[in-house]
Parts: sequence; C-alpha cells; structure tokens
Amino acid sequence: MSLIKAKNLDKTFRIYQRGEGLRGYLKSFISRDFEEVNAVGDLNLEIDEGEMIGYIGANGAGKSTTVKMLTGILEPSSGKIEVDGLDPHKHRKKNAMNIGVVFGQKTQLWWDLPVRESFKLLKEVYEVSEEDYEARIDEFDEVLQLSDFWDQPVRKLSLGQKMRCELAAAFLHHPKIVYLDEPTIGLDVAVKERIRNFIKKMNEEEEITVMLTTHDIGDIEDLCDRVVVLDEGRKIYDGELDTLVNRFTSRRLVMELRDGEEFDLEMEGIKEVKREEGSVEVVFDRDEVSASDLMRKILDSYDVLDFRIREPDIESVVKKVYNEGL
Amino acid sequence: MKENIEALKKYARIYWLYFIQYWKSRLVYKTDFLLGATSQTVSMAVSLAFLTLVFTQIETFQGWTFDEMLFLAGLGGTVLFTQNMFLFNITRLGEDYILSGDMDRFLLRPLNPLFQVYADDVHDNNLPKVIANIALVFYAALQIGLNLSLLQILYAAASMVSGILVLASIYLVFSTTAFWTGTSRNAIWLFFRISNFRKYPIEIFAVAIQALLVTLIPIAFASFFPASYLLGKEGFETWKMVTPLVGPVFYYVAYRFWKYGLSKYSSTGS
Amino acid sequence: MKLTRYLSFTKVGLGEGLQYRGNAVAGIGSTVISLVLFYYVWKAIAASGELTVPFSTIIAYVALARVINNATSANIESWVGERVRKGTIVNELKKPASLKLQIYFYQIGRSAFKMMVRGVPAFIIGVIFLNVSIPGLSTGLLFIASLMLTLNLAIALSYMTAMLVFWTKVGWSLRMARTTLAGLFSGAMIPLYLIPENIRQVFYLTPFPSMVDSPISIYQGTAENVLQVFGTQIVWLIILLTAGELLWRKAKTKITVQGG
Repeated sequence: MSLIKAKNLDKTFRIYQRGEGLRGYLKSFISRDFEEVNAVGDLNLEIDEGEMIGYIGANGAGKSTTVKMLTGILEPSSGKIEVDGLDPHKHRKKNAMNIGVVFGQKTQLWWDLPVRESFKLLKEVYEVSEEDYEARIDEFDEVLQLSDFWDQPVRKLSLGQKMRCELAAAFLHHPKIVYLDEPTIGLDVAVKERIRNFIKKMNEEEEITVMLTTHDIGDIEDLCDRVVVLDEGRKIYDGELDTLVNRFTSRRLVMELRDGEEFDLEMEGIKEVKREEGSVEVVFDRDEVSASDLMRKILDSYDVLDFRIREPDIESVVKKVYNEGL
Repeated sequence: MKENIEALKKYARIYWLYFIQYWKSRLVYKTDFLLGATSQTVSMAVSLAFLTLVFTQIETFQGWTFDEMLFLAGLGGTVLFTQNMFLFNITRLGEDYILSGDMDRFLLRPLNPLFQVYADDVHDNNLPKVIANIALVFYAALQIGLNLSLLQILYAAASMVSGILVLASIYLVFSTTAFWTGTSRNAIWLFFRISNFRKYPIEIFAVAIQALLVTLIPIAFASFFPASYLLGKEGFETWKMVTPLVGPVFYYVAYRFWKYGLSKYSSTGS
Repeated sequence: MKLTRYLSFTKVGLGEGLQYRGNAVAGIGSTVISLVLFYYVWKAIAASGELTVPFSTIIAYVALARVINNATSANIESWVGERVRKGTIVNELKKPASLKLQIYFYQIGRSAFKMMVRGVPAFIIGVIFLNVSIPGLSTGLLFIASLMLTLNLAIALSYMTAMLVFWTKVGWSLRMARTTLAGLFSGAMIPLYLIPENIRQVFYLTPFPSMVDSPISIYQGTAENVLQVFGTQIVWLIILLTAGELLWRKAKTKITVQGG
C-alpha cells in the first residue's frame, strides 16, 4: 500500500509582469499582463512506506514545487494527493504532525534561542511525551552528538552542527515521512557520513519513509535505491538507480596515442570524441557497438600506448541531469 | 469540546515558552530598551502637557472636564498599547514573513500560522506606555471620584477586551493585504496617524470622520464609547451598548479575510 | 574650500529624496490627517471657552507651523546612527572633506526636496482650508529669510542631538524625543500666545520657539520687532553650533580612543 500517492499532479503559476515606469505602475491597477508557467505537469508518483527515494532534477525542474505540494504548503492546480490517507493541503495541520522536513536553507529551529529551548518548543508543538522525548534526545545524541552545543543559540552554530540539529528536529516526533532537501550541502566528508548513517538508521529501524532531494552524488549512492528524475516539471525516470545509470550514460574509452597520431575514426556507436593533452576519450553506446569491437578497430588502425575503459557512473548521470537534462 | 480545551492548553503552553524566551533574550539589550522607554515617556509627557496647557484656557472641552479627558486618553491608551504589545507583530507580515519565506516554515508546523506570527515577537517597548496609561486611568478615576457598580466594572473589562480585538482586527485586515502586495508596512502608518484621534470625544469631528471612526477604522469602540459610558456621558447609547460585542465580530471577519489571503498564498506561492 | 565639491552632496541629498516616491505620498497624507485632527480639536477648544485669539488665527498658526516643520525637518541622527552601528563612521572621517560640511550640504539637499514635496502642499492646504492668508511681498520675503534661519537651526539642532548617538548607538529614539519636544515647545501644538506667561518664559529657554514661533510671528505680523526676531534666531544658532562642536570634540576623542 502506498503511503504517498500523487495522481495527475499539475501546478501552474501566473507570473505577473511589472509595468515599466509610471504608466506601467498605474496600469497595473486595472489589468496586468501575465505569463503562465507550468512548474509541474501531469505528475504521478507513488511511494511505499519505508522507502527511501531520491528526487533529482535540474534547478527549476519542479522539485521544490512538488515537495511543497506534498507537504501541504502549496495547493495543486489540479490532480490529487493522498499522504497517509489525508489531503495534505486540506488537512494541513494533521498532516504536519506526521511529517518532518529539512527544507534547504530555512531552519525549522528558532534562530535566537539555544538549541535546548528550540527542542523544548518542538516537543510541545509535536506533542511528544516527556519520556519519549528524553529517550529520543539520548538516542540522537549518540549518533549526532547534540550535547556538544546543546546550550548554544542556533545562529551561532556551524553549518554542520546546525544540520545535525535540523535532522534531529525532523525525526524527533517519529514522523511517518521525512522530506529532506539538500541535507549534506556544504558539509565536510566526516559530517556527511554521520548524517547519512543517521538517516539510514531512522529509515531502517523505524521504517520512516524518506524523500530526498539532493545534488550530492554520495547521498544518492549511499542512501537511495530508487530514484525519480524530474525535468521541466515532468517525470522522466522512476526506478532503480543502477538502471538509470546504465541507461542514460555511455561507456568511455580513454586512450593514450603515440605522439602525432591523429584520431579520426568514424564508426557507428561512437557518440563523441574528446581530445585533450595527450589523451583521447571516446564516448560510445554499447548497445550499438561492443567494447571489444571498438577496441579491435582502434588497435588495428592506431598506435595506442595505453587505454582504459570508464564505466558509467552516477556522477555523470547526475551532472547530466543537472546540466543538460536527459 | 475536550479536543478544543486540549488545543487551547497546547497553544497556551507554547505561547508561554515563546514569551519567557523572548524576555530572556531581551534582557541582553538593556540600553535599547531604556532608550525606547525614555522616548516613549517624553511622548506621553508632551501629550499630557498639551492637554494641561489647553485647560489653562478653558474649563471644559466640549463638556468634558480635564480629568475626564485624562480618563479617556488613559483608557484608549491602555487598550491600544496592550494590543500593540502582543498582537502587533502581524504588521511585519509582508516584509519579514512572506518575502523571507518564513511563512512556508510556519505552514510546515502543525500549528495555526497566524498564532505563530503573533507569538514570534513581543513588542515590549509598549510596556511603559501601558503602565503609564493604566496609572492615568486610576488617577483620573480618583480625581473624578468615579464609583463604578459591579456591572459597570464588568462592562469596562469586556469593552477593553473587545477594544483590543477591534484594533487587532484593523491591523489584521491591513496586514493581510501583504498576501497580494508583498508589503504590509505602508498600510500601517495610516492607522498610526489616525490612532491619535482616540484621545478626543468623537462629537467634535465632522460626521464623515465620525463614521470613519466607527466603521472603517473603528477605534471609537476602543476608547470613546467605553469611556463615555463609564463617565455617564450622554449620546451614542446604542453604540455604547454593543461595544463589548463588536470586538469578537470584527475579529471574526478579519480572520476570515486572513484565511482568504492565506489560501491565495497557497495557490500562488511566494 | 571647494564649493562645487560640497554642492555634490546637496545633489545626493536631493536625489535620495526623489527616490522615495512613496515617502512624498505618506508625507502629504500624514500632514492632511494631522491638520484635520488639529482643526477639529482647536475648533472644539475655541467653542468651549473664551480664547484671547480667534479660532481662525489659531488654526492658521498651527497650519503654518506644520508648513515650517515639513520644510525644515532634518534627520542627522539616523545618518550618524546608521554609520556608527555599521562602523563606517570612520570612513566618513577619512574623507578629505570636512564631515560637518558634508552633512550640512547633504541636509540642504534633503530639505530642498522636503520643502517642495511636503512644505508646499501643506502651504496650499493651509491657504485653501485653514485661513492662512497670502502675505504681502515684504512680509513674504522676511518670512523666507526667517525660514532659512530656521532651516539652519534645524540642521544645527539635529547635528547636536546626533552627536549623542556616539554614546547611545541608536538614532531613532533620540530623534523622536527631539521632534516630540519641539512639537510642544515650538508652538506647533499650541500657539505660544495662548500659553500662560510664566510657563511661556520656560519655553523661551529652549531653541524651539525661535524655530517655529519666530517665523510665524513675522508672517502673521504679530512680531513687535522684526530685527529682534532675527536676532534671537541668530543667537540660538550660535549656541547650538557651539554645543554641537563641543559634543563633536568629545565624540572624536571617544572614537580615536576606542579605535577604528
């Protein structure tokens, strides 16, 4: 049974044009020109309880719009959403009790207050019982070491410390679903690992469903089995990570040719040839030409000193997704 | 019913936490607080000086004695500045909550977003003014020799609460426009200017202005009507009777408008 | 002293004023509301007792006071306050131009703007609705001269108060206190001739009457001796400038002691 169900989700925004100069300013009181932007179009998404999915796409692809609709902040232009049986917009408060959110740069904590007080407030807001709260904080402290800065005001924390608090805050009340937006951005490797371990722990031990939006390759590799790719508001891929990588990237043959050798091979299946200082990189589609055929041809025609084959990797997929779309 | 009581308790607990935290961090900025308090005191002193000097030239003002005028000013001031202390934060809606994206953060919590805006700041620079105005009311009442029946005291308490709600509804309506315009500050300065009208019996103004003070910017309910009733003045009897009731009504209307603005926000984003 | 260089500050002041169009609307709006309030209050006062002066003269006085205030308001407190808070005040000192003159010319620019956008509309309202009469040529010219002196007084006063910002770190509360007191003592709220003699003498101990009551007395022709009026204004100008200078010297030592 799906915990999160989105059907035919559509979100169109009206961007009103600002009139130029005084005339435009006055005119804007009568009628305004607007542009309609379709941020999310005909999106269907189903997420089961306990899943941890990566939600990726270039900036402006509609990721945060989708999350805002799933969390109830934004009302869809059309379509249906059901989160644990509730319409998140209609039953915003009830749904909010069930979810945790780490939303980019915006903190869920209170800026001027010490961390301790922020959590006290959260305890009240999310109706966490006293015993449960104590146990939870202890549990989190083991993994996230919150006691290091428990009495410091949130605004004085380093990025890594703040993020650890955000995560603790998101999972404090045993939510069914947690939405994470760039949880590891700007952090050093050690902290990243600690955070990823924490998220994994929560997902595995408590079956908390996690929807993760991230640019970070390590995050995706480490945490997500399933990946949903969004491009210009539309879902273009929904499935296993491995399949995504294999389908959308090509193998690369990198070789070192003898000085002076010109590489000018034309062959079916060669997608791209990149030449750099001393090396040539051939990007090829292994559905059209096998590595062995390609190699044989090249070794016959050219004087190759050294070569290696680069496997498709997540990095290039992600780069591709974020830079050019798929 | 039980659910509602539980909810009320929850909100009360949360507000209390906000409140003590606020004061803890406030104590750090002592000089700011003192300075603000000083300039507010100057303001009040000048106001009183004006009235005193005017009364060196006349015996009564439109039938009101000096002490009665003090009572009026004090009553209106108490209501206005108490409101300002706790419910003023809504005026920052446009610049500080919508444009900054903080409103989204509020919507992610299982709490009423309007409550969160109100609770986010206590405007304590109003505290000296509240105290001074309460003192003024008692002083004036003493000078007049005001003897109020129990019913009248209940009326006074109810009208003051009602007055706070009336003022809060004005601020709420003006601030809600920020959902469309992005700014809430411009709408507020207008109210500030007009709030000075509260210190005078509304009969001295042209009828058009009286209408304004009772309908669009109904500050008459927060000061003149209750004071006039308690002092036993004649006129406006019906208005005075309904004063304790209009507050909740106005606020209810303002709250519906707020919900409407919020729904617009949910469909257009920020 | 290169005049042109300082005039550039005037241009800046003027320009910055022009940027805030909403400010102009707000200014006219608050003038109208304020004058409406005073109109009815004074009408009621006049109807409640025997005043030594007719209502029409009183309300003309109050309107003129408003015009003068709108045209001559200065806000050096915020200028200094902002720079003290951000710490950039030291940069201003390092500039090769005298800080005082910079501020002066800048304020002239701002006031020129305010005169146009707030003073003139207030004057028009006064003439049409509030019984402000159009003066004869010589009275008008003398009034303008007195107004210029008021402008300088306003800048000097604001400057002096601004010096206190070096100690208080916040400008707005000082400015508010100053303008509120000025409102009362200058006659802007109650024409000074309505105030009992002994209290009035206390008011004259402050510079405020010379800033508003003085030019009005020339305008309405109630001044006994025009030269005396000018004299009083000039004396106060000297006093304020001296006080400002003394405070500045103290402030300068404070800055240099504390470091940049």
